Amino acid sequence: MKAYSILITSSPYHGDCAQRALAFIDGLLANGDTLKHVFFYGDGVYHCNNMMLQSGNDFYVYGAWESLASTHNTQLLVCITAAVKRGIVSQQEAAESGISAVNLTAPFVQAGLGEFFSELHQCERLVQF
Amino acid sequence: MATLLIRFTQAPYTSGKSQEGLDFALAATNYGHIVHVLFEGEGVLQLVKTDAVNTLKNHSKRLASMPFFDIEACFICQDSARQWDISALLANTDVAAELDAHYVDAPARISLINSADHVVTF
Repeated sequence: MKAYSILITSSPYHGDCAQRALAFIDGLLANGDTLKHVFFYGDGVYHCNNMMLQSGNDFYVYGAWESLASTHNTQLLVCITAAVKRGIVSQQEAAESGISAVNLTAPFVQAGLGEFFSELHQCERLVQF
Repeated sequence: MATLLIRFTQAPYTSGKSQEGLDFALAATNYGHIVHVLFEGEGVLQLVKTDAVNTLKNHSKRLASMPFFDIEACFICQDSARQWDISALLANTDVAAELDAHYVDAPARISLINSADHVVTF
């Protein structure tokens, strides 16, 4: 049994990265391995935008992460620095900066690189998508 | 403690990847990880010293700070260096020297990857 950290740095519709990441996570959980967290960094923070809507038959990335979190109680950590500069803001930044909308909500949680690297000490595998 | 191999594969100012990759590498050593760096593909162009560009952070200057963050193992893909002919561009720069970066051939790149616990690509 191995502990995994998943790092998402590609944007939601960059090829099939999101589908491959989610399929990989399904596989490792089915295998009995553990998933420590999913960390969204760089353009990967766009996955966490709750204003994304499902469009026709397209793969609905946001919904897929939500259902992963509700089924497996997965920690979905979002790099706060990468997120705020791309306009992915939580209640706190919206209030502080007078922004009328909030697009980062649970199950996504803000974190820093420090949290990611601290938890990485407990992971045998790091896989990037 | 894990050994991370960070691969820089993008030119310095094409996207934010080079900057965020460097932030990632610098943060890793702060939290007790060992970082090795490999410049590959267009990433070798990051080693060319540039002046500050408008409001963009000066990438080559930031790169040169890596040794102060205990990042001392830096490698340059020999094939990419040849392909991009960086030797001509590097003639009047010392970023590679400041990093004490070494050229590696394909088998050496593979052993770098094999010797790391984790590989992250920017």
